Amino acid sequence: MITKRQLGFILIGVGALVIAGALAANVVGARDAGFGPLQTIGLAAGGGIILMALPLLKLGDRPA
Amino acid sequence: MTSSPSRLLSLASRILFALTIAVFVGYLVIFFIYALALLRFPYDYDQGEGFELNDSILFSRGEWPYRDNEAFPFYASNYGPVFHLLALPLFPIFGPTLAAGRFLSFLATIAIGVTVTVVVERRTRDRPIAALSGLMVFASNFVYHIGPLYRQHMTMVLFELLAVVAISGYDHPKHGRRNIVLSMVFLLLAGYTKQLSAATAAAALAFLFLRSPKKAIASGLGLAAAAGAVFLWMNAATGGQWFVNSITANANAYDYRQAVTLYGQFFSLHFLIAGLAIGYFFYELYWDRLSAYSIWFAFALANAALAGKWGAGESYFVTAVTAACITSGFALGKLKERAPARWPRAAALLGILIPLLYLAQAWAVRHLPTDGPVFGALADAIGVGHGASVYAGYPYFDSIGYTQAGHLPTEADASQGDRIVAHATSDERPALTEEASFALRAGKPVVTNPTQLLNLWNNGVLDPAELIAMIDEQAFNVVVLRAQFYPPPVLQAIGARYEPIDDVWMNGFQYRILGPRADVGAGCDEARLYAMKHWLEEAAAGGVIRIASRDTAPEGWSGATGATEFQHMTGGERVYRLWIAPINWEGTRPASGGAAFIGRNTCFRFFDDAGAEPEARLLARRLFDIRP
Repeated sequence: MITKRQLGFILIGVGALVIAGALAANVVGARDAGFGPLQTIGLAAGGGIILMALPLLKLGDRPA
Repeated sequence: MTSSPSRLLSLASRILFALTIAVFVGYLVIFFIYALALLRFPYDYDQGEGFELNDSILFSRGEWPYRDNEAFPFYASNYGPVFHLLALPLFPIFGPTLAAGRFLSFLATIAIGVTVTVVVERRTRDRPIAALSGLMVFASNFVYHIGPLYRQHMTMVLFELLAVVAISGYDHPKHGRRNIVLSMVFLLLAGYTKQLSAATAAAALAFLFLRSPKKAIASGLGLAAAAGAVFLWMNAATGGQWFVNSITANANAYDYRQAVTLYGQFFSLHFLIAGLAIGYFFYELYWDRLSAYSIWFAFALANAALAGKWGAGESYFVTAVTAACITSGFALGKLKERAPARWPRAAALLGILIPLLYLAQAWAVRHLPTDGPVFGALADAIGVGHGASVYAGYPYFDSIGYTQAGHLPTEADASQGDRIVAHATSDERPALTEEASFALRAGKPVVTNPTQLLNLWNNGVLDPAELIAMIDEQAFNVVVLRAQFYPPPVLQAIGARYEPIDDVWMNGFQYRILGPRADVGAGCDEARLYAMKHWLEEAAAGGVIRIASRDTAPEGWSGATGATEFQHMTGGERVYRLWIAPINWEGTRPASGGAAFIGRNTCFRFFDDAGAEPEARLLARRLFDIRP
């Protein structure tokens, strides 16, 4: 069973990956014409997931 | 005396619920009328339907629909086989016609609505809310539009729903293991109905992971192994065409603005159920345990972002709509359960508020025919207006606004389709029809799946030379165009060798009928160039002819670009190069080395490797009538 706190950490990891993917898109060549709108959406989505996850860290060992 | 207001509220609540349910039953009736109209209409209502019928027909003959798009009939499917196979048992009833798959989708949609009702009723024990949740499936504009089409989407959603229902019972004391296995089987079926269901597989496994990580990992590995084995088997059985047509051909251009527009439509049309579903997700996330249904809704809502892909649309939201129908019902059930203890005074008003909110939801999704004694009067009554139309003059109103789906096709539309079929049967040659149903009704092979060709062309993995060679030879008796979704060189070739002979309006679309041009002149154009490539490929001993460039100059020559370079490849090695330049191309030969000018014909000038094998040069001279 996964707890709320563990779920919080998992979601923070997912959000960080989304943000890293959006930032890395230029590096890996997915876009080569500046910072695009899809990257902005990716950053917002990743940030949103992290924000959503933060309160879970305080909910301790309750089952997710 | 004190019970009177309570009784009045209760009575008002019952009346309002009855009225609201009646309104939603009205949407169900409209869905039935639409489905019946489509069952009677023998031609493509949506451009993809005929192709899916063709897939079923190919399966009925024991053939795969995953084929080489570069060889006649240049046709392949880009969807999994489950839906097309499920339609086969209906062929003895409906014949190999569009009605078979439309009826199957209709049944799947009905099954989705019934399942949603049962799931909500079991959780909430509230029949009015369960009924409204299930009926909301049919009231959704998105579901209504695609519900009775010969498309695989609703069948995929049904399998997704059944998978989530099964996985939610993973901890059943007697049938827990069976439920997990059932869920994986439904996910496998959903995935091989349409690839879009991958998000539901992720949602089901994510739910199981939260509850029992070991079971989730074991189930996930089992599902991946089964799905992978089927994939490898199909790919081997089709000589690699399954991968090309299901993966490569589905990698389309993405436009985030299209996705944003569709998200806007989804939220504005389904504001109540979407709002409740989101609220219920956060309630479960922070104050309760996440259910399989809430996780499914979240994944489905995120997955709907794929609606920004070229060729995608509102159907990508139907999974989210279905999940929202369920979790919005859960939310209201929970509210009714908790309210009396928390807010005793306000609780009594919930019985009034809930049906009123559903009535507002019904207003947001309003869609209906707008003529006839019943619907004409109803359209007037709700302020839409008798005969109002959102599409091509058809008496149909939809709160979405302009939409190509939802109206009822007419007898006149069917007659117009017959007129197109009459063109297609004008002689024995195959017909190149952009929609499959005309060719099928004419008893001819379905030639091309245009969007499939376009997707592969855009991904740089389609050589249309053989198709264009047939167009160059005027091997088709007619060409029927609608959206003109063919790759650009195919459209150019059609324009060069065929001319308009008739325009037919059917179902609000203009179909352009083209017959062979009587005089194409010398034919010094794109069509001939691709045809030459095909001739060379047929005549050359082994290997393939690759177009290395469409805008170059012969090697070493100065002058403008604009020449085409063919490369004869054998065993991965280049064995001969031929440059073909326009007849008026001018350039200066290099002082030494470079390509050699070998002559011209009536259309082009030709150059090849200076040290080319004499046989290769002789072949080119003979094939293309090259003279010094």
